[in-house]
Amino acid sequence: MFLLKFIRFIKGYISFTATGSFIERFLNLAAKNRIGIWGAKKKGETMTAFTSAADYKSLSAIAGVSGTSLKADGRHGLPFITKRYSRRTGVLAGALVLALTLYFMTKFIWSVNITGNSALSQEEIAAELDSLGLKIGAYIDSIDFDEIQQKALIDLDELSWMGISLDGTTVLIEVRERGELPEIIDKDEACNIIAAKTGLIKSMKVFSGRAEVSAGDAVLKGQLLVNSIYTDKNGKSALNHARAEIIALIEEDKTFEVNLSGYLKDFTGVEKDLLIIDLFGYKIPLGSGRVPYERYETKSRRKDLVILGKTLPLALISEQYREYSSKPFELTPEEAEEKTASLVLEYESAELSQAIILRRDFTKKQANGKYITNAHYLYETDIAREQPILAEQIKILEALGIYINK
Amino acid sequence: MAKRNQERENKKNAAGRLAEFLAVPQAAISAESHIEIRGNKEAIIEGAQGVLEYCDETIKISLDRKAVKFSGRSLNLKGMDGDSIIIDGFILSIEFT
Repeated sequence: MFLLKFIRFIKGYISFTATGSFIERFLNLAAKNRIGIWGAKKKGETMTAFTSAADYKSLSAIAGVSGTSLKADGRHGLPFITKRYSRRTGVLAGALVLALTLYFMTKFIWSVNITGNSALSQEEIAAELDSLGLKIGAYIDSIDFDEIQQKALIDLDELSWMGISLDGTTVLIEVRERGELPEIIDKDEACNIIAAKTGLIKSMKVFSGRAEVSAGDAVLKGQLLVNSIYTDKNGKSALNHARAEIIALIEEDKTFEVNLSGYLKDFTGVEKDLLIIDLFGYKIPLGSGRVPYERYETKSRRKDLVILGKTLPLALISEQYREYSSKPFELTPEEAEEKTASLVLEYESAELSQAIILRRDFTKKQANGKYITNAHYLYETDIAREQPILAEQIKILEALGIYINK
Repeated sequence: MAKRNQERENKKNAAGRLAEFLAVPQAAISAESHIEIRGNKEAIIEGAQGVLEYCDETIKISLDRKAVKFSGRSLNLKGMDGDSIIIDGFILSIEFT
């Protein structure tokens, strides 16, 4: 019924009133001429009904023959609406300009959303992408996303992976950083155990899975330690979530450097605030954009305009410039030693908090204006790291008759 | 005239026999008019020859060699296109004449 109404709307239709003593004759002649009439209601000698715009002219001729008077009450549908507005060229031109503008604007990037970063700031990633041509206001068709992805990964050492996708006019960038904590794998998911570090295995406790190495073995980082594929009591191969605690002796070298001389920032307390409108990547300062300081630090806060969850290419940036002067400093070897000690403590509490440090040897020297400390560590720690088995690998294993044990 | 009527009657009987042989409804093969009723609110007539009478309480439709009269309240011609007519309203009785 909706389709019928829609077709009638597209073709246009007319409501009319037919008056006369021979309405039946009028209807029969209309039917004979294959003129469609609908919604007929009759009261006495008057009938109201609808017919298509194309048939109304023929219906007028039939009314004359049947002695019925016909009067059009209203014209409905698209042809009449178009005709009504055809004289208002301004409205049509406005609608056309709006449609073209919207189409044109969808060809440009409106916003760039970066997720998954922690060590690298969004500004640093955005600046790198900006230099490669991926920025707000850039013409979408001119951007080679694959090339930018590869170049950005080469330039940004801290990143191990980057995914760029386009959602309408928004570029979604997902990154993974190096040295991130290993993801926790669901206990029902199949996984192997690999070596997190290079070392010598001291003891092993395998809770599930098949051990590929034994105590006393030297292993390399990334080497398979416990296999998730094992043979059950029926002699069938199965895939499960391997679990183990593998304690290994690790030897590691680490260098700590402290500058013996340099410059420190000494903030003068003089500041300047500036509001900037960012429209499609073009920055319009509200006030004088010149910063009257020789040395200054910039703090920037950006507020994007979001309507119905959609980030528009319009943002308000508030920038604060803080003046500072460079203050020279010099460290004595004792002060440098003290600073190194705090760096060592920071490193050990961050990286070796789970390890038992058996020995640490330090060798110290001064070179190129730096106080350099080489630390040699010997410690024992659990090197078991869960590594998920990819869906593709599972498919291959299943094809080989290996089932997943959950 | 009588001969022509006889020929038409024979043709109809042949269509009826074929429908019976194929085990399908006679309306699927014969050119006879077809009436479909939905509750007492709507009637769809196919093979109508014209409207003989039309008022609020009665609508009489001409079929091939007979007529059907719908009586009721607030009867309207919901649609009319070629030989198809749709009647709506409160249908109280249907009478063939």
